[in-house]
Formats: sequence, C-alpha cells, structure tokens
Amino acid sequence: MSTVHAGARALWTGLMSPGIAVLLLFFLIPLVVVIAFSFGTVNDLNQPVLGFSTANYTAVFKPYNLAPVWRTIWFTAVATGVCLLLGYPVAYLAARFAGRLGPVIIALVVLPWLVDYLVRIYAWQSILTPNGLLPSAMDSLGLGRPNLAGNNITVIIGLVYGYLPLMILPIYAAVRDLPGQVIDAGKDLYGSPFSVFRAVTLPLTREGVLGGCLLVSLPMLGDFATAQFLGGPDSTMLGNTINQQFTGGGSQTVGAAFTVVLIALLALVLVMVRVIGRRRIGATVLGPEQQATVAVSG
Amino acid sequence: MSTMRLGGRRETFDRTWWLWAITGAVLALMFIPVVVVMLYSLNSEKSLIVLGSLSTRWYDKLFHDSAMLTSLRISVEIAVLTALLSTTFGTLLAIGWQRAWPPAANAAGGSILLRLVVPETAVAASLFLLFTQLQVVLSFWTILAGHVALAIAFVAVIVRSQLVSLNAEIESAAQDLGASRVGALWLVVIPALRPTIATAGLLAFVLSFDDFVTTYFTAGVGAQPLPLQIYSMLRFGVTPEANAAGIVMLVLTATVLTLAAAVVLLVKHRRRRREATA
Repeated sequence: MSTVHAGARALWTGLMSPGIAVLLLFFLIPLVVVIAFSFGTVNDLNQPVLGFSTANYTAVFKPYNLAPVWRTIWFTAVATGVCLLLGYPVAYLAARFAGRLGPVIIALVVLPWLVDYLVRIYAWQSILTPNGLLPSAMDSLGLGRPNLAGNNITVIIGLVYGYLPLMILPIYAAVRDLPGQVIDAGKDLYGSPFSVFRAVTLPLTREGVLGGCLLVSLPMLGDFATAQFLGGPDSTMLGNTINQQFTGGGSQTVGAAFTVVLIALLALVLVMVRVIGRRRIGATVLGPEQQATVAVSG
Repeated sequence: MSTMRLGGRRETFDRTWWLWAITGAVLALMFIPVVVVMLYSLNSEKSLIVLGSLSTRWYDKLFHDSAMLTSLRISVEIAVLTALLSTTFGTLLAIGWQRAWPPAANAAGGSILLRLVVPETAVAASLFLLFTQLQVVLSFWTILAGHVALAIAFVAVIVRSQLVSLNAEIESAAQDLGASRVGALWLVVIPALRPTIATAGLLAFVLSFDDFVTTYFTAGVGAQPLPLQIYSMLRFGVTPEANAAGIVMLVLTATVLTLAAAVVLLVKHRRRRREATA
C-alpha cells in the first residue's frame, strides 16, 4: 500500500515539474542572481562582475540615494492609510446596506481600473498640470493657474487611485461574511455605533483589512510609473531609482542593491502583517476571497 | 440584512447616508479620470483644454497606425500564449501542491506565495539582470517567460482553492472502476475543474495583456507590446491617440472579464439547478 502511495506521490511531483521549472528559471534564480550581484562590482565597461564588495550598499546608504527609499516608505504608508479610510466605508456599505446594489458598487469600483494603468496615470496628469483641466477651470474662475502636479501629494493621489480597488475587495468579502446578528447584539447591549464598530466589526474584519493593506502596499513599494508621470524631481520613489540604475545608464550592481532593499521592505511589511494578524501570512494572502482579489489585480 | 428588515429601508438609509456620501465620492473619484480619457479620445482637437466637436479622429488614426496595430497584435499573442501555458502548468502545480511528496509540495507552495507578494518591479529588474548576464536577447520570448512566471502563481492559487473543495471519493471511485491515476485525473478531476481553469485562464490573459512592469524590463528593441507603446507615446507629451488606445484596451479587458464572470455565474446556476432537481 505504501509503495502505491509513493508511486502516486512521485506522479504528482513529476507533473509539477514544468511549473517548478518556470518558477525556478524566471523567478527564484533571478532573485538569487540579483542578491549575488548586489555584492558585485562593475568593470571598465560598466558591466556587472560578481565579487564580494559592500560598495553598492555604501552607495545605497548615501543620503542622496536614501531619500527616495524614505519617500517610498512614507508614500506607501500614507497612501495605504488613505486607501483604508476611503475603502472601508465603501466596502462596508456595499456588503451590509446596499442590498442588491452591493455587487454593482463593487463592479463600478473595479471597472475604471481596467483602463490601462499608464493611461489612468496620464489622465490624472492631464487633469492636474498647469495646462490641464483643473488649473484651467480655476483660471477661468479667476483663481490663478496653479501647478497641481509634480509634487508628493499628486504622487500619493496617483498611488491611492491606482490601488484602491485592491483594498475594497478583501474588506467587502470580510464584511459580507460577518453575521449581521453580531452587530445587532452589540447594539442590543447599548453599544454606541462607534463602540460597536471598534469592539465588534473592526476585530471581526481584521483579516480583510490586513489582506487589503498587504495587497495595496506591496505593489506601491515597487511602483515607478506613478512618480515618473505625476511627481517632480524631488518626489521619486525606490522604483524610479531601480529603473534608472538598470535601464537609465546607471550601475546595474547598485540597481541590484536597491532591488534587495525593495525585497527587504517587502519582508518588513510581511512581518508587520504577521505580528498584527493572528493567522499565518499565507492564510492572510490566501483567504478564499483574497485569492480572487489577487487574481483580478492585473 | 436583518437591520434592514427591522428598521425598514428608509430608516436604514437615514442612518447610513454618510456611508453613501463617501461611496459616491469614491466612485466619482474613480470615474473622473476615465471620463477624462474618454472625452479626450473623442475630442476633435489635440489640446487638453479646447473641447472641439465629437470625433472619431483618434480612433481612425489608431486603427490606421501600423505600429499601434502591430503592438496590439503582439500584446494579444503574448496574452493568449501566457493564458495557455500558465493554465496548463499552473493547474499541474496546483494538483502537485495538494498531493505531491510533501517537501516538494511545500517548496512549490512557498514559491507560489512568494511570487504573489514580491513586488513585480523587484522580480522584473532581476529578470532583466539575469537575461543581460546570460546574453539572452530581449524579445517576444523573454516577455512571455516573464508573464508566464507571473500568471502561473495566480492560476495555481485559484485552481487549488477549487481543488480542495472537490469530493475526493469520485476520483477513487473512478479508480475502482478501472481508471488509472492519470485517467481518473483526466476523466474526473479536470472536467470538474474546467470552469475554474477557464476563469483562471481569462484572468491570466488580462494580467498579461495589461502588464506594464514585467513587460517594461523584459522587452527588447523593436516592436513593442501595447502598454510599452503607450508608455513611449506618453513620454513625448500630448497624445490623444493614447487615450483612444486606453479605451480600446478597456473594452477588450472588460469583455474578457465579463466572460470570466459569466462562466462563474453559469456554473453556479447549473449547480443550483442540479441540486434543485436532485
């Protein structure tokens, strides 16, 4: 019996091999390579060479280079917070009070998001730049023509806009699974709306909130097109640095070190979610509804 | 729901008006840029401020622009191949993740989860470094490799979630009736998973078709997929044609996702009817 079992296992293991090969070749090995080259040097032709030098990390920790890293951290934190503040009420309403309109609201949230990512960013640019819609409208009202683009705030608006649906979907799923009687019980016990929310609703939807924060913050950490089109020279992010080092004539080994910094930030977020959440990261990422959410994230 | 029945719709609305207000504001925010894009794509003028008459000028230009049409074709080709390859490999991965030799299954599951959380920029930049180090010429095929390695993780996760809810006894019944292990998989498990696999495939298509970051780092010189073509247009200033392209992409992806939703609803409906008759 056990040999039959082993045979079956060997079969299923064998069937995985093409998928494993793809993940190894085009995901895991590149990550190992990038870590290896982050300790490398460049030769006279600016080509990366393996080695053991910490010069790239010394470069990363220069104040000039560290600034975009700090910006990335606080942009992501603020934008995730704004996504949560805007997204929770929408998800809560859609799941609890909107009745048949609930799924419609969710569909409406997702629809604009199917417009190409770059075209959406460009739309904001054409609204906010001095020649754009909003300043022109303000000008015709005699308010002057301010340049609303090219600063930290526009980048954060762009980030919020770019990833908000990823916050709403898991919270929607979590609130929908919440039995309404629990909230009614809280009210029967004379809880004020706020205290019922704090003591009952929020803790019971915590996994949805954490899942949303995770789904939103991880791509934000690596984003570079938002800051490129909506930001100015002083609002670039880590993704812009990586892009510049790899494809903009910088040093690939320094780029590799910045990529390792990005992976370290990801690890930091995962640890935070793990500490706040009760479940394992896998469970938070992979609650059945989040799976669908993750899946739609293209 | 119970509050609604107790308090009535009207009263519920009175208490939740501020939630409706926030939701309205958020939806307005979500739609403003889309409306702007649509408006510019139908504006006869090239300017962002001057609204001329309604015109399909930019769509005409788009559909007569051979570079754009080539880009569209490349994007569709890559997305179709990504969907086919990632559903095949991803489904096998999901099956193995559930049943393979535990160390292998755990390693596979761990890699899949890791793939879902590592920011795309990090993976894409790493792929770029690997390809340039191995002197692989960046091309259609390197983009495809990047896309398959991304979509496969999503497919595996979606298929596995359905797989764990399947009734394992049907499969052993098939084996008792003489089917081989692979035969039972092919005759029983795969048909039961078919709607899930179809949905996952459509999502993989959308994922690949809309992808910018991985495409950006894995594409070489020469003909570019649509998101990159749009990127280079946007870098050179006002381009109403890019807005038209954005709307065309919206229609395409919305169609594909509607198909995916229809598959899900159809299956649910059938299942319910079957349960009702049983």
